[in-house]
Amino acid sequence: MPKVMVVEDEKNLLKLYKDELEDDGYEVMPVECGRQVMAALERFHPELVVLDIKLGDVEGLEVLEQIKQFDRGLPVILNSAYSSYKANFSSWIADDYIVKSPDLTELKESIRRHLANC
Amino acid sequence: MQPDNYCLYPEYQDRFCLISVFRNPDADVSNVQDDIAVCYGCERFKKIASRGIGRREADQAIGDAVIKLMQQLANKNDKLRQTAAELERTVEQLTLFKSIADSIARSPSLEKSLRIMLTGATSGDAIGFNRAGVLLVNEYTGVLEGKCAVGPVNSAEAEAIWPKIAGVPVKQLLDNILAGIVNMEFTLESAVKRARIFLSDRQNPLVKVLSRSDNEAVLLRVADCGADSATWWPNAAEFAVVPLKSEQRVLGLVLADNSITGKPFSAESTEALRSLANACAPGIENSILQQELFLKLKELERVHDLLRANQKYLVHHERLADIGMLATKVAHEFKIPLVTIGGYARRLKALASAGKIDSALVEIIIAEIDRLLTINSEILEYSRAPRLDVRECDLCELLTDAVGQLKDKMTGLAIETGMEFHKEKLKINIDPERMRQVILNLVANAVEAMKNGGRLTIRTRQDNNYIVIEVHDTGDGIAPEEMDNLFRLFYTTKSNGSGLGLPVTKKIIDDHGGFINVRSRKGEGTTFYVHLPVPDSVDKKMEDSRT
Repeated sequence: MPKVMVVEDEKNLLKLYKDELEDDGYEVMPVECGRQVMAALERFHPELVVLDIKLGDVEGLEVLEQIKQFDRGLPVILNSAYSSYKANFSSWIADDYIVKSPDLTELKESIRRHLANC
Repeated sequence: MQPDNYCLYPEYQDRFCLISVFRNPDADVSNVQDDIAVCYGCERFKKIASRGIGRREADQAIGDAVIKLMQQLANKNDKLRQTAAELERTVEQLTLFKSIADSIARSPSLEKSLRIMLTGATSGDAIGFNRAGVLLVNEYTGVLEGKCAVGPVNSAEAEAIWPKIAGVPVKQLLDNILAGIVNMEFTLESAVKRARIFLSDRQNPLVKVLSRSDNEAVLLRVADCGADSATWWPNAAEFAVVPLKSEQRVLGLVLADNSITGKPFSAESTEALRSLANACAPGIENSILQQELFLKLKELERVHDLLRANQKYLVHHERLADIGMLATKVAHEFKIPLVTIGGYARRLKALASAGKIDSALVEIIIAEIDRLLTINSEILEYSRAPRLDVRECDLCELLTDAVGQLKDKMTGLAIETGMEFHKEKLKINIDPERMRQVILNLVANAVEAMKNGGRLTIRTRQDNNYIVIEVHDTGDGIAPEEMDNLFRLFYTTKSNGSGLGLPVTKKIIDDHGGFINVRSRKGEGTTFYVHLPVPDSVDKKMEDSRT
């Protein structure tokens, strides 16, 4: 099963993603806290990261940079309620930018696509 | 002085000799030696008398001299009597003026003060003009305006009214004016009120009188004082005009005439008019100043009310500006719960078709919707204008009830409660529903902070004009950097908080005319202090916020 890490500070949303992705056959590591990301990365070795930008404790874009520095080839999909960060060039090192929606189709499609490419 | 004009006798040497009477019939006999017996023994007298004048003629001459002396003395007496009469008149006038000045000092209004002065001008023998009027300077409009007049407008009216007041003493007339009893309705007054002379019209003789440096009376022809002067001072050819001036300012003019009886103006009467005006000026200035003060005060009150209304508008406006920011934040805040709810709803739908419904999912949806509703109502609460439903309540009862509502939650978390009221019953005028919201918010926050148990204490005390409610918890405390943000909209460190609780709490307390502050130490606990003003001061603020 492909391993996917989901970083999201909204507990209920995190659970939704976990449930949905697990139903689709992924092994999901949920991470609620931005600070825990790097440690979780080393422990879990995901094949893809879904990263929320607006995290309570740290800047999502900083975490993005940290991840990319750790492993350039690890796909990171930015998942945000706001579309405004697309204009921020720091976000351009991500592999995709999905605007949060009740409809998870787009997110799931992006995950599938990026995992297939590896 | 010729030597033989003085008496030869040493004891009378500075007195004139009686001979000088012979020589000069117009001589001043006030210093004459009048002891005739001495003359009979005087050599000079005998010599002159013996020049062909017999004893009888000498007696006659002496008799004449005595008569002349007495006449001169009588003249002097007359003069003295005249002076005494004048003095008496002056005293009468001063007494009259004093009553007038006293009455003006007691007068509650400018109108009465003017009428008193004019009644003085038209009564008494010393002054007694037929008619008198007053024009006052209006500094704001730059106009000399007719304000008051006393006296008949024509002979017909004079015949009707003079008999009525003939017998009434002046003092009585003045007292009537003070008491508000109208002595007489004067047509002349409605006429004089039409007078409007522009101060810029320097050619107008009335304006010229105002600008003179002295206070002398002048006689003017009515026709010279403006094209319409006959309308406001009818039936008169001329009037005496005297300035009405105080130390500090020119108040106006007093006019007087004798157009009914035609009695000519005398120096004495115009002088008396001038004295009257001078005596009355300070009192009248006082009345004018009082009036101006009253108007200024009204204006100040009006501006103050405007400012207060403005202030409320500004405060509301500030809140509206906050609300503009709020709208954007709201849109964002709403998004996450909506995304979550939507996502779960879709999942439910998929699971429903597969036959598996997880009630935990449904609960999450319900919780998120409740969260949205809370945000919604708190937004509404925050953006509404202050309108409280104030009633008299017992604060102790309210506090106990509010804490009771959360009792179960607290027992579950092993939180002890302590209520320390400084009185058994605390009567206060507040909006009980809103205040309950406040207490619930503070208690809920306290409970949140004591997830591992602790003690909640609610204490009340009196502090000057406020009743203080203290809500104390032994929880985690608030970090110093977060203290500034506590009452900010949508600011929260809790991931489940809507961030609106404390701002609304603060708003409600502010609307009651009170204030809230907080003390906290990380690891030791937090205390919120709610200050509410005591009954009388609250009522007034409630009245303000209701308008």
